[in-house]
Amino acid sequence: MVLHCRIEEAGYSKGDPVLKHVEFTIRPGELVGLIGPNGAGKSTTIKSLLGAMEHLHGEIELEHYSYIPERPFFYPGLTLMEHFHFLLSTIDVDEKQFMEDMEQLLKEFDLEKVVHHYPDSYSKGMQQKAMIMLAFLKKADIHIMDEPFMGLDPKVFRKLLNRIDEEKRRGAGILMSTHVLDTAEKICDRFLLISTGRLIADGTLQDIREKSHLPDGSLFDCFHILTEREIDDRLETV
Amino acid sequence: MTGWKLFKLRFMKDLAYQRKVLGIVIDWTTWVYIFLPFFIFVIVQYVEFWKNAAAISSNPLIQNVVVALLLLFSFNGKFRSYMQEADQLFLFDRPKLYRSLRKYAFSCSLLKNVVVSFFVFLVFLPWFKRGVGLGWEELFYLYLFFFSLWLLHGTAKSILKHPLTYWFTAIVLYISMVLFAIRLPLAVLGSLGTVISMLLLIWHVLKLIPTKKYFFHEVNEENKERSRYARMILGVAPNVEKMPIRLGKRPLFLRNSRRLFREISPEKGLLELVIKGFLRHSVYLGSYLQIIGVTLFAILLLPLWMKWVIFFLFVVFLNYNSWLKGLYEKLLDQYFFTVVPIQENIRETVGLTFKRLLFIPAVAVVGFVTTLLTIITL
Repeated sequence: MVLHCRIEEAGYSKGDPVLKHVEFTIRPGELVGLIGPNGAGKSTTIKSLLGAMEHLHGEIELEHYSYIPERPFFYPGLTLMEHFHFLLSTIDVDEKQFMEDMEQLLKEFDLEKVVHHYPDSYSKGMQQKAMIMLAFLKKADIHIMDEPFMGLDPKVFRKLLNRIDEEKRRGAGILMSTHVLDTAEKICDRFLLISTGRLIADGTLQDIREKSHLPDGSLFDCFHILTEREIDDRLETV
Repeated sequence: MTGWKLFKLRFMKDLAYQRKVLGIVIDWTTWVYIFLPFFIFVIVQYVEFWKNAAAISSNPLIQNVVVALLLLFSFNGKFRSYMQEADQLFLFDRPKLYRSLRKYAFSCSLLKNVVVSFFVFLVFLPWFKRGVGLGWEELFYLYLFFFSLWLLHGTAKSILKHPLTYWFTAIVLYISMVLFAIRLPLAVLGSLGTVISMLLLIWHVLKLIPTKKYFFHEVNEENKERSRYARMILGVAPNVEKMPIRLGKRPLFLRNSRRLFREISPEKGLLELVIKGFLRHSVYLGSYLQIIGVTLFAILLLPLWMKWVIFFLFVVFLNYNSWLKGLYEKLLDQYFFTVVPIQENIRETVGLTFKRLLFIPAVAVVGFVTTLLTIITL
């Protein structure tokens, strides 16, 4: 197990929880898709995992992780290379190996020419690529990715999928929040479906299909059925 | 909607917005007790200047300096486009309206440039007329030349996106025009100014008004122009955190991301990060140098015993006051650390080293100057 999350309640202010009763586990080499409608609580779940929520009742077991935020964050006044230097100083890896991996990733993501530039000056897609590089260079036990495909061109999209596959083979767990359901359907081993702050489904595509009574349905269709049903149930309760 | 109506709408909206912003800090008491007396004072001084201008020295060196000073004001030249970001959705497919709006914006800017440059010229006029003894015709030539440089700067600002390119061009233009002004006869300067102005105006009308090539740069410039008073007010407000100025995509200091320390450790990594972050943050670096500069200035002026009091207060301020601690906390207050987290114990250890790194040179410089001035005084 590389991540265990048991959230009783989490929110931005006391007495106003955004998440309730969310519990899941991620095992080594497992890619789990965190899906749900806008405002369902996906980002709050990720923030809770990172310990960035002010009000959290529950238990998070998470060590040596990497994080790709939805909106890239860089340290102002540092070049991309200097971000790599800083990352290197914080992790226990062989410098030579790290530099080789870095060169390889720079080439793969086509950022070689701008490595001595401030990432603030990059386009949105380039910033996302830089964030992905920082995450993969960390060789973490688990990668937490919040909308990692956002702003990527199809070529880089493909490269990211290959890298995700490599990381899985290395034994790293991956929790990926995404709205790109057709891709998630193809690559994820398991799905966590969150709606209105609750975990309404946790399982493989087959489990999700059974739960939504759509034996051959796509993840997109199942998603629609389950989230609509959850909202209807909630309205009936009210 | 016609171009004129759209321009009028944007012009009036901009005017109302700027009035509202200035209204925050300037009320009627400021007008009555500060601005009105100031205007009267300026008018009285100007009348005096006309009367006494003949007595002011006008040797060739001073003439050259005054002409260079006059031409320096041409950096104020600018053309507003009144473009907004949403225009790419609503105006790009309506070329007639787009051109028409830009035509009125250009005409308005041109008129504003004529009026403002004329008032600037008016300030220097008494000295040129009575001190140097230029005739009205010669003054007209000089104004034409001055106005042409004003237009050149305004045009350069409209089309040169990179700040370094703009400043380099502006300085080259300025030096060339000053050299022309010093060496060429006024009649030639007048003709040169007319030719430059005419060419620029034709270029604006035929090329720059219809083009969309500079659209995003123009939107940026418009945003800056719109927020100019707000920025000015925030710029002097002591409690507002200022944004650093960054020239270009690469740092000027350690351009190739060279490491400061050979040893790789979490402590050295974080220390390098905060040192580089500090040295490349113009506001933080400026504040640090300002504190040292102000202390040195006070030490220079005050009597001997006060010099040492100031020196010890400076040491206490840096060491026990929260300024250096606050600076370090600000440098670490970044979302980036959710991506690459740092441990609390490393944060504290590096904090002490960082504070020492800024404290020791500051105290050494101020202490050295204080000791030197003490020896000189004794």
